[in-house]
Amino acid sequence: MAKNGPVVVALVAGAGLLAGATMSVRGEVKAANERLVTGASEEKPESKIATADDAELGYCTPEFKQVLARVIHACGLGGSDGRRGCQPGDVKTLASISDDEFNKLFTPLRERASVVMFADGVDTLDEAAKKALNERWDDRKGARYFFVVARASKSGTVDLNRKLSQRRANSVMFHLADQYKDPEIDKKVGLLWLGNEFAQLDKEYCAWNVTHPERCDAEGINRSAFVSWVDCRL
Amino acid sequence: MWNRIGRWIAPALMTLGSLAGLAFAWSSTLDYSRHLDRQVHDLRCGFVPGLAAAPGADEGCRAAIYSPYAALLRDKLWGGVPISLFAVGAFSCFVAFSLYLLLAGRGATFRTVKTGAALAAGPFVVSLVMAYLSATRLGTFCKTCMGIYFSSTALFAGGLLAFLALRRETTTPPWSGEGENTAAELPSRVDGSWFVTPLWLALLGGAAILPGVAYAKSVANHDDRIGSCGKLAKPLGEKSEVGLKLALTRATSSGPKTPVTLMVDPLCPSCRALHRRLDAEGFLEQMETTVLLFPLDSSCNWMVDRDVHPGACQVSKAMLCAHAKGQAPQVLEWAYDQQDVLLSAAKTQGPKAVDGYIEGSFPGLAACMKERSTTKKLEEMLRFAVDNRLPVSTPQLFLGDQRMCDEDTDMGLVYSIRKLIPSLKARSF
Repeated sequence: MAKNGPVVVALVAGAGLLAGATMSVRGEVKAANERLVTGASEEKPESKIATADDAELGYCTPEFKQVLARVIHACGLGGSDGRRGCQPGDVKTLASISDDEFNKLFTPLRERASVVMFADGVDTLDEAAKKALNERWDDRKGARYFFVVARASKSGTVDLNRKLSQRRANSVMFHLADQYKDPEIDKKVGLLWLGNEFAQLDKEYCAWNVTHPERCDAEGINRSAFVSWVDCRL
Repeated sequence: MWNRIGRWIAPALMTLGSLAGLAFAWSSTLDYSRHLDRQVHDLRCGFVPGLAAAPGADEGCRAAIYSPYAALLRDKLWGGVPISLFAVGAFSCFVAFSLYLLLAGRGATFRTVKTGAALAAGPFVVSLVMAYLSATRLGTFCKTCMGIYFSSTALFAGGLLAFLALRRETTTPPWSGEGENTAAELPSRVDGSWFVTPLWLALLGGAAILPGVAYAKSVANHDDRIGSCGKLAKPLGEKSEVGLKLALTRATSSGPKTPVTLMVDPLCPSCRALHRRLDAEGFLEQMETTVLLFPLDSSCNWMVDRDVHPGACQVSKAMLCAHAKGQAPQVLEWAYDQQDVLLSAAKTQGPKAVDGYIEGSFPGLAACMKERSTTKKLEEMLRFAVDNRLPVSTPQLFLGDQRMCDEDTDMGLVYSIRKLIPSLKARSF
């Protein structure tokens, strides 16, 4: 080998490796720049990351959600207008289902719900009712809506019972508003009052979480407000 | 014997070490460069350069490339200039040098051999420092990095042998009869010009810097993407009690503090990595941190359909309970330290096993953890994510109301934070 041969060979080899490595890195950088612009993925697409949302449990059937949506949009539950709550006539029209079907929709909420009971002709909450309401409200988990379905028993006129059930629903609402001072409560709580005209509960509901099981009977169970968070997305 | 070592073994060892170092450094740099598209990629993390790692086996390399020690100029360029790129240049130069020794034999001057042997200690010293940082700061070793460490060691060993053989050459009298050849049989080695040392130094410096310059010139501008991941629609108010205002570092800073919100899962490895990176970079001490807990554990979080980090709900509740005692940062630090143990226990014995570990380290929290009010506090934190329509992922970092993109919280962390909040200064290394 010529005197300068080793130097030349070594320098050419080193420079070649350096140039090759640098060019390949530059190539990788340029490819990354292109992907940055086009958004193309070099590898298999990643699974899409979910967005945080309210809970959606199995009982949120299409039928249930249909009723829920109608009530929310038509009865002021969205809190976007001044109107609050649905009357028996509204519910009948909106739900487009029979009394029994309406009640069945709420069956999956048996463990989630409480039935706040009132004395005959009374619309004020007693201590047991307030305790049950607070417990239910605190047990929100991932739910978006809190439903209050107030009723009255068969005794008395239709008009009287309609007004009585409305006052019962309002008592629940006022208590929650007063207790929790939640500025967005209007967007969470949905009020329905059914009087004695629609979807009366039968005695079987006394086995649910009622505030006064000792006075629960076919009449007493309807002097009540059914309260529950509803774990459905709309 | 020493003649053979000096003539063949030492240069061959140096050549092999340099080539292997070049291959590992090049492979590592390609991995790094691939991430400039702000996506997550598999890494070629292994003892065979260029070979993709098995799924899940690249955690060490991932920790390394996201660490503060992976790149230089990180506040000037998104992702900085990977340190492995300097190794690419340096090892190329050492390939040239060791090839020269191999080909030139005794034609290489004394000064050339000495210079090369001395310079070969450079990569070895750098490797020692990086290995120390890996062990003490990252707590893990990246296989590709270890490849570079081994290669540097081989290069250094070759250089040392070359130097020892050279000394032997000068101290052993030709008439001693030691070795296979007598002085008369070997061509004489000359001292060589003094110019050789600065020439090799210049070549090494130039070769080390050149790829970095080429890289820096070709990296795209990420500025318009930083801060493009939205703002909080419903940020926590000044008086909000939903988040935990915590001092997450023992380091202190006298300057004004930037309000940030960290959404974390105490059993999430990425959260631990981000936490430690923010601390190592010196950012945490300049931040007024509000922590929101977002355990990826379906036992308390309705947004996850499987237990990604079982036991995270219990640890989160322990943090909430410890907050009243001023111990929440300690619980978080403990959870990060014991993360592997806690996750393993929860997966093998069930999430309740985590309770025992919590009780062992922080006695007196058990009753509070079972209280409804604690669950409610945690749910309020989860609702923060719902109210702001955030991705179901952790960690998430918010500078004020600005959500940092995930890719800006790893490789581009320093650059992105400095872009969004110029007053935040990274610690220099």
